[in-house]
Formats: sequence, C-alpha cells, structure tokens
Amino acid sequence: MAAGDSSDTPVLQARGISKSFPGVKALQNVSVTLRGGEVHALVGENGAGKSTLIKLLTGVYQLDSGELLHHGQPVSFANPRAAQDARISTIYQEVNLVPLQSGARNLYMGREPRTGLRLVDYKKMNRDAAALLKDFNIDADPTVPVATLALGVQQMICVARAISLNANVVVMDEPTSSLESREVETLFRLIERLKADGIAVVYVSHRLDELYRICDQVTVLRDGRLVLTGPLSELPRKQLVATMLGRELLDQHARSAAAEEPYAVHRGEPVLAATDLERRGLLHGVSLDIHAGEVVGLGGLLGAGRSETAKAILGAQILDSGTVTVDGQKVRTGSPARMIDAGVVLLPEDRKADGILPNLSIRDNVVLAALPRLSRNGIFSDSAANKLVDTFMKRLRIKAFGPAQKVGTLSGGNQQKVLLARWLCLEPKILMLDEPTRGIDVGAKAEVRALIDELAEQGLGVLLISSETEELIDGSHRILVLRDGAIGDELSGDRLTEANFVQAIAGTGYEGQGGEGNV
Amino acid sequence: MSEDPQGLSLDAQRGAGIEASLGARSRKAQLAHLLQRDGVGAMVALVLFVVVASVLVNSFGTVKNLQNVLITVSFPAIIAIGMTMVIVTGGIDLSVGSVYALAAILCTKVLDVNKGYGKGTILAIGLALGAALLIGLVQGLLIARVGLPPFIVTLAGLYGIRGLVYFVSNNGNDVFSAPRSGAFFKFGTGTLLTLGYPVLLAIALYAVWHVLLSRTSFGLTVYALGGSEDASSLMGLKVRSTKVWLYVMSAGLAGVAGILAAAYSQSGTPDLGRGYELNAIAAVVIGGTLLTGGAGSLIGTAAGVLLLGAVSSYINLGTSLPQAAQAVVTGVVVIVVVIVQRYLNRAQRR
Amino acid sequence: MSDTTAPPTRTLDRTKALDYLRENGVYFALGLLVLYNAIFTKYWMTPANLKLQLVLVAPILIVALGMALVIGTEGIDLSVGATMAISASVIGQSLDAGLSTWLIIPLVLSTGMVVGSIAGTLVAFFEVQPIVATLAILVAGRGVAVLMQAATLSVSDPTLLKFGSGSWLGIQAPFYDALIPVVIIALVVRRTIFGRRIVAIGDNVRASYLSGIPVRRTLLTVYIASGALAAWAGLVVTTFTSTNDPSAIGLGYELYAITSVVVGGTALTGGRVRIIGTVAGALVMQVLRSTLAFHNFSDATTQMVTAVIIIIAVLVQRKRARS
Repeated sequence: MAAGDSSDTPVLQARGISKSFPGVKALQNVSVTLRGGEVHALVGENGAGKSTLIKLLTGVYQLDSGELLHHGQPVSFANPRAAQDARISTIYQEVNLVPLQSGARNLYMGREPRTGLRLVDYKKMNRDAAALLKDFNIDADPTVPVATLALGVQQMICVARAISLNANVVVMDEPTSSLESREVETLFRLIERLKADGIAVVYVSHRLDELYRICDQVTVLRDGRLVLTGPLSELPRKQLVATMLGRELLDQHARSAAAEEPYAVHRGEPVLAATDLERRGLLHGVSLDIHAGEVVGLGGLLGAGRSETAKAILGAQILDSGTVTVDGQKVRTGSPARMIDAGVVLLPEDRKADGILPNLSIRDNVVLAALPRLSRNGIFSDSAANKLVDTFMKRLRIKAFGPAQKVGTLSGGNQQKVLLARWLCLEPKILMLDEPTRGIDVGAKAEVRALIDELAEQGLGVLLISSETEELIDGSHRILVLRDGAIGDELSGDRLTEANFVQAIAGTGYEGQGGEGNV
Repeated sequence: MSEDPQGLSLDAQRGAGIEASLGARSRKAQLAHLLQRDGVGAMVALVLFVVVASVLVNSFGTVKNLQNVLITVSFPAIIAIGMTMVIVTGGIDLSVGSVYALAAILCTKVLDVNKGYGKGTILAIGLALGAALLIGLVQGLLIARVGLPPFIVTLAGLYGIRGLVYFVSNNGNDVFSAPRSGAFFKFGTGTLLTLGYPVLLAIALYAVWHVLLSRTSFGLTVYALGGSEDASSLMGLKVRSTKVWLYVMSAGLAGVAGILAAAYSQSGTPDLGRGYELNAIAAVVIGGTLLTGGAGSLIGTAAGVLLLGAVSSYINLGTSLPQAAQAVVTGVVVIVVVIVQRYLNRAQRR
Repeated sequence: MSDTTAPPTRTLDRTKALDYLRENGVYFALGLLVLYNAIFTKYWMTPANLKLQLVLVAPILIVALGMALVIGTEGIDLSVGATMAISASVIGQSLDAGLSTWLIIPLVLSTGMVVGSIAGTLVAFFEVQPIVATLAILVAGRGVAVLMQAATLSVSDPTLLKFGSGSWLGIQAPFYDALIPVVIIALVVRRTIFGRRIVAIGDNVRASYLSGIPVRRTLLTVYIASGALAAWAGLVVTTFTSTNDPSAIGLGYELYAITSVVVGGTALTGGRVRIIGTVAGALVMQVLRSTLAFHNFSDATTQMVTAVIIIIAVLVQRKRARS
C-alpha cells in the first residue's frame, strides 16, 4: 500500500463495538480497520448503522462496548474535540460551516493564527486560506461569507478544513451529495492526494460509480451488523448491491401475490401524472403516472431522489419546473393543502418530524386533515369524529387504550397506522407511501402490506417507496428505479424480478439486454 | 490537474476582490451584502439624516447639539454593545433596561447622604457593578446550562429586576442623588477635548469590544454560535461557557451604563431605562446585525445608536411632537428594518 | 452503576408523581394559597373579599386567554399591555367625541383586532420572530396610546361605566366581563376547527403544513383574537377604575398574562391550550398578589415574586417536554 510499512499498524481500528439507544440496537459487535493510504467505503441502507459508526469514531457518541485502537493504542473520545485532537476529521453530509462567516474564518475556526498580542491575524489567515484553497484547486475567495458560495465550493472548504487539521483519518459522510460532477472530480483528486499522503479515508456514499472509482476497501452494514468487509475491487457490483439490500443474488424467485393477477392497469387516463419534475441537484426530469388501482413502486438507493419525488408531487419540495395533473386537471405545485384537496396524500418518511403530532391524541391526529369535513360552520362535530376514528381504529387494528391516548406514547407501528388513518379517512385518489413499514414490528408490517393491496383493489392509486426489496417487488405492479435523481429504468411484467431490480439499481445493464441501462 | 482552468484564475480573482467573486451572483445580492456588512447602510442613513436635519432645523447642526446628542446616546450605546453580542448568537437580552436602572439606583443610594448611606465612590460602583454581573451570571446559567429560552429568562429579568429597583427605592418613591463633587461627580461630568467622559468611555468600550469580537477566539466563537450552534460544537468550540459569558457581559455593560448615567446626572430614579431594551435592539438591527444571528458588527451598532439619537434630537428640536412619538418611531423602525433585512438576506443567500 | 437495579421503580413513581403535579399543580397551588389565607390572613376569607378577588382577576384573565392561544401556537404576544392602553385612549377620544356606548365597544374591539393583525401579519407572513414583532408593538403601541390620549383622563359616562362598575347578583361587572370570553374561548378551543389547528401548529408545524392546514391564516387569526381580548381587557380596566390614562393602563400585563398561562400548565413550546388551567393560573397570581398586599408587601415584591414564579413554572414545564 501507498503508505509503506507504517501501515502495518492500522491508523484506527474498531473492535467489536456496540451502541444502543433506548429501544434500538444501533450497532452490534462491529469491527472495522482503517489503514493509512486506503479509502474505505462504508455502505448500507438507511438504519444500517453507518452514521452511528461514524459518530462513534469521531467522538459524537461513546461506545457501549468494544474498543477503539488509534495507532494500536486504546483510546476513547469524550467529545468531537477529543477526536479532532487525535487528528480524526469529519466532513458531514450537510455542509457544516458557519454560513455568514468568511471561508478563511471557517477554515481556521478554533485555531486562528495569532499576532504577537494574541489577537487574530487576519492577514496571515486570509493569506494562508488563499494558499490552502489554491493548493487544493478550490476556486473561491476566502474573504467572502461562505453562504454566498456555491454548495459545492462550501463542501470543498469543509474538506480543506478537515485536511488542514493535519488529519490522519478523514471521514466523509456522503460528501458528493450536493456536488456537481465537475466538483466531484476535484474532490476525487483531493482524495487521491490524501491517499498518497498516507491518510486513511472513510468514504460513505450510495453512488456505486464513485465507490468503485475511489475506494480500496469496503464495509457493508445492515441492521446494525457487519455483513461484509474486504477489498472492493474483488466484489462484483451486483453482489455489493445484493449484500446491501440483504438479498441472495441467485434468488430468482418471481413476484408472488401481485404477479399472479394479470397486470390489469392502464385503464384509460392516469389519475396522477407528474411531468418533468426538476430541482437542481435533486431531481432531473422525473416523470411518472399512476392509474386507479395500481401500485407503482419507486426504487433506488438512498439519495436517489425517491422521497424528493413524492414530496415534490405533494408540493412540499420546491421545484424549478415540472407539472402535476390529477384526473387531467393541472394542480398548482408548491401547496400541500391544494394537492390534498385534489385527493393526493403522502405518508411521509420521517414519521416524527413530518407526520405525528406527538402530544395530541389519536383522535386529534386522525382527524387533522379531515377537520373541514367533520365540521359545520367551523364547529367541530365530536360525534362524527368519534365515529370516524372508531371505524379506522378498528379497521386498521390500532392498539391503544383508547382514542384519547397521546400518539407520542404509541409504538411505531401504531403511529404509522394512525397516520394511515389520517389519510384514508379523506378517501384520497392517490396515496403516496414513503417507507410505510420502516421501524415497525413484523406483525404490523404484514398488516400494512396487506392493507396496501386491499386499497389498490378498491381502486386507489398507490405510490410505494421502500428500501426493502421484497416489499417493493412483491407489493408493486411496476417499479420505477431512480438513479441520481432521474428515472433510470422501469420494471414491469416479466421483467419485474429481483435480479433485474438489483441490476437496475446498480446501473450495470442486463444480461442478454446489453443495450439497456448505462454500462 | 493542469487541465483545470479554474485553478489558474484564483490569483486574478483575488486581485479583483469581492466584486469578481460575487460577479456571478445577482447585483441585488451584492447590494444586499454591501448594505448589511459592517452597517454600511446604517452609516449612509446616519450621514444623510444628519445633513438633512441640519438643513431643516438650524439648531440641529450646532456643535452644542451634537455634543448633547453624543452624551445622551453614550449610555444606551454601551448597553447596545452587549445586545449586539447576544443577538449575534441568536439570543436576546430583555433585562438590560432594568439592570441599567438597578445599577444607577444602587450607586446613588450608596452615595446619597440624606436618603441613602453616604458611603464612598468605590463601594458604590463596586456594588452596582457586582449586582449587574451577578444578575448576568444567573441569567447566563439559566440559559446556557439549564437550557431555558433566553427571551423568557430575560423577560422575567426585565420585570423582576425592575421590582428590585422599586424595592430598594421605597416602592419607587425615592429618588437618590449623588454629591455634586468628588470622584463620582468628576467621572460623569468631566470632559477631555470637549468630549464628556461618558462619551470617551463609550468610545473606549466600543474599541475594546470591537477587538474582542473581531480578533479573539471568544469573538469568533460568538459569531460561530450564531451561525450554527451544531457546527460550532462539532468544530470543538466552547459553546456553553461562551454563552454564559455573553449574558454576564451584557448585564455588566448595562450596569456600567447605569453607573455612568447616575454619575452624569448625579441622580438615580426608579424609572430610568424603561424601554431601553427595544432601543438597544433597534440600534443593533439598524446596524445590520441579523436577528437570526451569525452576522453583525459593533460599528454598525454604533451607527444605529447614533441614528436613533439623531432622530430623537430632531423630534425634540424640529417638531412639536411629544416624547411618546419617539417610542413610536423606534418601534416602527425596528419592524421595517427587520422586514427589509429578511428580504436582503434572502437575496444574499440565493 | 451498582444501584441500577433498585431505582427504576422509584424513579418511575417519582416521574408519575411529578407528571401528576405538573398536570394539576396549579389547582393545588390555588388550594394551598386559599388555605393559607383562610388560616393566617385576617379578613381574607370573607365573602366580600372573595368576590373582590374574582373581580380583580378579570382583566389579567381576559388577556391571558388570548395569550394562551398565542402560546399554544408556540408564539408569544408582548403587545397586550400596549393594546390595553390604546383601548383606553380610544375610549377617551370616543367619549370626547360624544359617541354612544354601543358604538364605542365595537370600535374598541376592532382597534384591538387591528393591532393584533399587525402582529399577526408580521409573524405569519413576514416570519418575524413573535418576540421581536410584539416587543416593537409594545413600545410603539404605548407611544401611540399616549399620543392619542384624550383631553379628560377620567370616564364618567354612566352607560359605559356599567361594564366595569355595575353589578349583578352581588358581583361586580368585571367578573362577567371575563366569564363570557372564558366560555367562548373554551368552546373555541374544544369545539372548533380553529381550536384544533392552533394546537396542531404548536405541536408540529411541519406535520400540520403537510396535512394541508392553513398555517399562516391560523396564526394571523390567533394574534387578532389576542388583540381583541387585550382591547376588551383595556375597556374593563378603564370602566372599573373610571380612568383612561394610557401611560398607566396595562403596564406589565404581558408578564402577568404569560405567567398565568404558563402556571396554568400551557407549555411555552406550544401544542396545548388549557383554558381552565389558565383561569386557575390567573387566580393563583391574583390570590398571591392579594396575599402579599394583605401582608403589606409592596408591588415591587409582587413583581419580583412573579418573575421567580415564571422561571420556576418554565423549569417545571421543560421537564415535561423532555420526558
């Protein structure tokens, strides 16, 4: 390896580390070895434990058990500062700079050059910053507030800051998620340089092309456990995806329930049609339509634009351009209230932040969107509401002491059912479900899945987003696969198999169908 | 790497300065940035206002009136130093007017021979300043350590400390006066180069805090805190202790202003400093400091304080409006500036 | 670490007890205060004095009702005291102009709504922090009130005075002046869409927006309601005291109202409006004031005690938010 014999002792080694939060085992017995001069890919789907691992390595969280070895010596980091002092630097997914301060100040925050009077030496700081940025080929004036710079440039400043701390470990958490392709190239040149300097890099990304281009080692996490670690070049792309998703590659079984019934859609006009949804850096000309009674799956790796597509349709994601029509009528985007009125609803991915009202009762949560329908002249009808809530609590089998129980005290599965009830009581035309079974127990999962099938049979159009391959393939009539914010492929009928799905996500083209997909 | 033409342009760009690097962005953003940065907008407004007012009202532009304005403005100006820092971190300190009054009443009560204790200057100043710092410490700890919202803690301070002021002044019925001679008298009324000591002290405090804010790690931490508390703690900055210090300083400065005001007028009345919190907030936002935190400067605040003082003087001299009109002007100005700031800021961030 | 086995049950009991105390603490506090006065304060536990307490609490209670709505949305309204003063000036000017009572009352209420709509517009549409928007109105509003001050600072119109000094069934008018809005607001909170939207916004504004709730319109309405109630309180104070001096009316009411609301169990973090709790909170503050006054403590002391109480109330509330 590049760093020669010193790399015999790993720079940083985690041995059997575990971390739990109330109710969740976030990481169980995971071991990772980082060597100087190597780029180590850390991959896994949402909830796999990547960010927990990173936070343990960088002192944001403390270990429950296991140990960390730094150059072979056991260490423990009480806070981010301690990890920084041990020359471990982190670049977070969200740009973590102080927005209204200059690039130079951000670069040297907490270690400003001083004059003889112990005052900050701006001349030297700006000079050093300019030299540093030039050294890294970053095209930016270090004296202007970073908020006025392009996101990519801000990200590069984060990288420059991390590296200029004389780091020997640099952790990059999805550093390219906000970068343009040209900026990605600059970042990669930087990473090459880090490798040559013998620095260990941890690289978290969902973009497979990037992983294969830049990384030497790979560690795959799933459900908080280590499932694979080793050299990346020896691991075929498809197998990597299969490992991440937790699917056996040779498992070719076709779809079960949904496959048996004939593909009985395309009855006339679609209920919902979204056309050319465009948002810089997030969505690139995404179009899709949903017919009555159809379950359309939206697949892709994390960050491919699945949730953004659903939010854009609802009107909660700002768009540069794009139109949405419901039953042939154009509905103005940018206003959830209008879209909900038109009969399009979304069960959001982040139940806590975007969904539940934790301190309010089940009843209040269920009727939230239906308030106008349950009222006359603004006066709310308790009896109508109670009837409605009772019906849905029974129908969805919501387990609670009663409709007055606070939603914040319910289990994840029951919270999800409450949110489903909120939307179903509106009798919507289109139901968009973003990770409907995440974080809920097995029994509730099965119930939710059965409910989706039932709803579709009754003529509801469903957009289903899920990171669980089986759920998506079994539950959908057809699947749109997103790659980097654009529809990469559509799978339906006979082509709707796991192998094809994995390939579509990997973007490697199909066996025997070489022309399709990008090779 | 040599194929990257961008890398080569760096030096040329630096030579051209801010303009070039902002060239790609809209002109509106440039203007917004200029107006906001270091209170350029406030300074322009100040100069324009003084010129126009001098033309309109003869007595406004006289040396005597300008000296007057400087003296009257120097007390709230000192309070605004602390307010600037607190607002830069995204907090707020509503208790400053009451702390100001408490300091003034405490030191005049100690000095007052008839109704008070008739003790020395050092004890008077020490007690007043000590009380202010203690209040700041309690508020700072409640905010930074216990995690209560700044506005509620300092709102309780605003009323609670005013209650304390009334408590020590026989339910607001006593007005204390300091002797018209001696060190304390000199401290408030002395002059150097035609400028009163309070004015000089205010200038000195602005200079010291300007350096503190712009050239020390404490200052940079203050700005970082307001920009992003998460980013600051991830960068390893001392978030909590800095916050405690801020509220201690804010109360301390309000105390200094109160002591100075007492020394200048040789009297302490229980209704001193009412509404000073909004006055200070007004000066700070006029000076370009964002209420959302993260940016702002003392130079801007100084311009804001002077502008408010000039407007107030103009209302006195040039119009027949009663004092109450000033409160209206201050309130309206705050609202307008905050709204303008929002739009400027939006333009800048695009 | 060694004692991890024993405490859980004890801490659970303690948190349960604490929760119970937080939920109902205000009623205990009220009971204790009344009990204390019944035993230790001479002449306190008399029908006349008890009735007087119900009358004296009225203006703060009326203001606190609006404040409870605003705090329910996670906002704050510091402009209420100034609105009361403006209301006093409007009454004075109207009387000077010879308007009849039946014109003055709607005029006063709509003035309050105008002031509230300024705050509401700033908060809902310009997204100014409630604290800053309403603080500016606090200062400017009192200035406006003083500028509008009437020639005569005492009210002598007999019809109008009935609203503050009349009496019915042995209790003076302010009691009924407060009772009516209490009933209305309690019904609004419990029975209307608007009431549900307030708490929804306060609990999770993002989820509310994503559920199609008109967030801006609701916020605007809440501040308008608070303004109208403050103006009504101004009218009650003016007619009760027969004075309409705008530099004295409503001073410090913002703090007393906030304290009543928070003591009554509505958290500053929003998501909850407790009207009956607020009534109890206002009564606690009133009885406390009266207790201090009976024992010859000054207003200054009352103000200090209020400040300490609000800090304690917020501390208690905060613990709930965490658990």
